[in-house]
Amino acid sequence: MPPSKDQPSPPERPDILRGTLDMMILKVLTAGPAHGYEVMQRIARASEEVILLEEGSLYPALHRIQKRGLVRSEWHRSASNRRARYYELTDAGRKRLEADVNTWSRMSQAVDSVLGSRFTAPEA
Amino acid sequence: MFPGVHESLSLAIRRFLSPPEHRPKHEIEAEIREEIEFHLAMTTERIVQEERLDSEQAKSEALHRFGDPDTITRECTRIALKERIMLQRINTALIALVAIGLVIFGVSTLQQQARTNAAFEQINEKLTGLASSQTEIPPVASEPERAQPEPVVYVEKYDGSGADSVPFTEGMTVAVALRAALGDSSPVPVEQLRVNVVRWTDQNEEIVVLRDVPATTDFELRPLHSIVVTGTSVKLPWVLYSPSADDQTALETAASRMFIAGSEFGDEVTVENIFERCAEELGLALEIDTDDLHESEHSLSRPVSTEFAETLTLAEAMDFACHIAVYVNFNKLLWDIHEGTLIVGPAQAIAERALVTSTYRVDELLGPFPTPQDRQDLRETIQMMVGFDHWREYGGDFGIYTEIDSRISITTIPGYHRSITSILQSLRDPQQQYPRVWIQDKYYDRISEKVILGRIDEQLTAKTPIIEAIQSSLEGFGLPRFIAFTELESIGFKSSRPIGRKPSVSATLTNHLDGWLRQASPNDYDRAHWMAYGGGIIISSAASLDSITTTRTYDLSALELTSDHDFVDSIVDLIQTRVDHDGWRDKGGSTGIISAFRNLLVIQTAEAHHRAIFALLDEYRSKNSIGATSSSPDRVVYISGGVQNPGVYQLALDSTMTVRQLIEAAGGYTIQPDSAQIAVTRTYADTGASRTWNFGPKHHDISMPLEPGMSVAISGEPPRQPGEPAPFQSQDLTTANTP
Repeated sequence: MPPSKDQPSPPERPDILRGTLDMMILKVLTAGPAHGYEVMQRIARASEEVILLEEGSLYPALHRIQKRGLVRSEWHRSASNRRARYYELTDAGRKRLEADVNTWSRMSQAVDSVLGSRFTAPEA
Repeated sequence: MFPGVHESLSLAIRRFLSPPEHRPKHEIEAEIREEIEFHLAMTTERIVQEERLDSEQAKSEALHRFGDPDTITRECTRIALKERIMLQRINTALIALVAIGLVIFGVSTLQQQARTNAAFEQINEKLTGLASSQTEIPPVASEPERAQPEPVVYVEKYDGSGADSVPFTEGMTVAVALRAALGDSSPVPVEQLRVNVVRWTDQNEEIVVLRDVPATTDFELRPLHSIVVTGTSVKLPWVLYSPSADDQTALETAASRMFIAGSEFGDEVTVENIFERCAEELGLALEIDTDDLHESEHSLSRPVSTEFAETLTLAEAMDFACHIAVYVNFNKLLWDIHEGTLIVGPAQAIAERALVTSTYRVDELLGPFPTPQDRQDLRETIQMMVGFDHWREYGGDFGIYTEIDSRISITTIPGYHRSITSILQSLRDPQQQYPRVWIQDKYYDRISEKVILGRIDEQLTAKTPIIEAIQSSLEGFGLPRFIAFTELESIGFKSSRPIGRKPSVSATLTNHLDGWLRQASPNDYDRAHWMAYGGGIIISSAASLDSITTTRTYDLSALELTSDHDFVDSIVDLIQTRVDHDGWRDKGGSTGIISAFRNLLVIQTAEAHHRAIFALLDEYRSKNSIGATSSSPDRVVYISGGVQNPGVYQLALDSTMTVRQLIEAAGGYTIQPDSAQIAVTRTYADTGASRTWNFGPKHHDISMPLEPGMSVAISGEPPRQPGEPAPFQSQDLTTANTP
């Protein structure tokens, strides 16, 4: 149901470029298996709290990349002695991460180049 | 080959070849729910630690940050079952094609049976083989065995520590689960606890399965049932203040023996004479210490009455003397009995002679698992109601309050100990001390009866002075002759003014008293009032009467199906707005004090205000009776908590009002709208069971239709913008609140 007009807009959060979430999840899993909550914490810590995920959006992403064979999951006891589903990077996930990081680096450099260029307004 | 193409192709092939999810859908959903619950539990713990919220608030905040778990569960389930759903669709389509093919071939068979028998059988075999291969889709490869969620039940103690989960076993009973969860931490054997058994639906609805039953019930639990401890079946230790045997005897004598002035004081009895006489009667030494009172504040030689009544007990006479001896009531005069001495003076003077430390065990009051909030509320109630200005931790001179577990150690004067004991007893058993039917002062009851003046009208004429008319009418009814007129000089009371006309025989005594006092008063601001007090009648200025306060406990469970903090707060607001608006200490006044302990309100104020409070609550109760259910003929709904005008609202017969509309009708939120947590409760008349629907911030636009008897409780964060909160609007609950 849409929110009513008198509702204030939600607090602003840095938006995450579409597609980068999967890459970040794969990256933080290179440090070892983790449950969803830990994945979120690792991303927040690594980004120095700049990237705060919409927590609910994390799980569909995890299940999606698991379906694609990039991670696998198993149930284990957590440090608090509760059952938790731990995700682990697969070989396919590592390869995919490597490819994605290369693509991201090229794109990032390209964007930096554009932003660093000096332009003059074209004559009318 | 282009870079990346090989990788993409291998992924596509792997996905195509990956085994479809073959477990039942409900198993997959259960796993996803457990995964999300784990996330929420971790977030809740972190919020509790980092943001110092209590567990309920933290849970709510965690849910707020996460989003709607149901939607996310559905999305994850859809992803997990995507291939299976697609295969099912393909399967269905193929079977349909086969069926059509069979029909076509059947027709062909009829037409060309003779020629094509052999061919048909060949084709038919092929088609049947194709159909059977699509009906059963075996897994391509078996997956490694996964750990299944362990079934659990939960045990909640309501002490703020959250719920403990216990592995479920077939045939598990409540007692078995409690033993597993509590171990040795229960203050009584678990068989002596009482519990509710609750289950939660997928829609986060709470359904009470068993209400307040002994833990020995043979009810067999199911996975995910919650056991909520509500109390015990046995009496827990209960120890209150007890004076020494001799002092106790003297106190009991003071409360039962009637005051007889005797002839030694002549025609006039002074305040000091009263104490001398009482000490003599009780066989006690007398110490009067008024050093801490300024000379202008009191007079022990003040005359009381030439007809000082023998209708009062010694204790009532001393109470009365203490009150009328002091002109300015900033520092009250008290009397106390300690080690064979009757001590009279302000509290600090008594404390110099009689400071007593007593340990109270309040296990039964706090219950088996008290919350920190309960302990804090109890502490505040005692410290606010008794010796308000004397607690050392707030800069006072002698009161000390310390607590260990369910023991409270208090150092104060004996009279305060007796008051604390009385309050604790009223909190433990409000029904016994202050039942839901209002107990008024016994004398007030008699005065306010619907009696008329008919049988004494011969004694009163239009020329009878007002003061004589008052005395004559009270005496004529056999009411206490002890009438004190105090503080009347200061307001210019004209006691000798004639009553003006013969009293009406159809009016009550209360009506006449009120009328005469209004007549003798110079104006409405400086009016004289009357009150029944300690067996006597005091006629004085309003300010003076307001300083005579009593403490009463009100059981709000008579008003509302739930007793959450927001509801209690809204009732406190209602009282402070409608009764003695300027008198409440927490609002800058000087007399009234309100404190809450669970669903009990302890209120210290003048009796006149108590009467008004009771009338107000009774008015509320009449519209919101405890029996209000879906079969309530009143067709009312209730809203409490974070809205402008909480209270009772009438539903029209054909009403389709929704929760959202009720919130709007109640003036909208006073909380941050996007933090609103809304609990809608409905109680069923036949079983007494209740059902609660909880809605989070994302469901603020609730279109749930309301039914009579439903309660809506709103909670959430205060508004983010600084500024004045919307004031509570004084309203007539019977009419103005009806949308």
